[in-house]
Amino acid sequence: MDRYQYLIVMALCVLVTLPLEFVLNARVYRRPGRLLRTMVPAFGAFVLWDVVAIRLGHWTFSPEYTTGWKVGNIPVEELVFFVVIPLCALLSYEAGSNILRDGWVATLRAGSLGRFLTPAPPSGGAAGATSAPVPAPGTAPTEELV
Amino acid sequence: MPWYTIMTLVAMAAVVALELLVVRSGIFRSPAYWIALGICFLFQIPVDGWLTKLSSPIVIYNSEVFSDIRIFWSSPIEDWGFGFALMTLALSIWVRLGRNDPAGVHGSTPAAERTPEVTGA
Repeated sequence: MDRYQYLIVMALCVLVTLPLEFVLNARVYRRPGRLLRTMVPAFGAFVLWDVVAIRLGHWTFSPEYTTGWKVGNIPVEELVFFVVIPLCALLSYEAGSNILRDGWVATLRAGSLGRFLTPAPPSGGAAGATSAPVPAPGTAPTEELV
Repeated sequence: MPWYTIMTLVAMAAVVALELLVVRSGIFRSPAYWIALGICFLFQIPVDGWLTKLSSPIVIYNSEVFSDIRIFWSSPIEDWGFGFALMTLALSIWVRLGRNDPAGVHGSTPAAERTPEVTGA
């Protein structure tokens, strides 16, 4: 198991941030086109740096805690790292934006646990005040797959 | 030569310049960006700490190429600049692309504009 340590750390990063996508409705994984167009340049630039740094001996990897699987001179763990870390940043950003813009309650309601929350109260008692509908999870705007 | 230190400073400057002069997503003026960065830095403490812990490191740094300043127990201070550059580059591009994405323009369309009469919570 020891040799999977680096990969396990990366898997934990994915697991810990996964609720942001659904519970806080970050919608990062659900915009695959935009995600790909974001990841390619960031991944490319940092992998390039990594290739050079490894070649020049700036850093090395413990053979005990990595799988030994490599692409060229880069351990696959590093390639995973350059996907996972930007993903974590994007998920945090989107979840944070939702909360700043709509508040916690509306954000949670729009998320996957929204169906378990009590429905939005019908206006706060003031006669005539209409409470705008909070979109139900099923009716959220359709995704742009760009 | 402290090449990792130099490369980190160059990468940070390059990413900031790219955002301000080319991409212009405006993330540096967006609170959500700083919050995301803060959250990710918080998680970088255990993650990077585990990867670099001196007792049994997973990633081993050549002490000749970095400042040898380690913060939060074991992570080289350069790692934090590295993380800043990686996350800022990704966020800059992501947010810029969002401008063309009608379903996902965040931060620029207040809830009130999209669903009139909703006052938040």
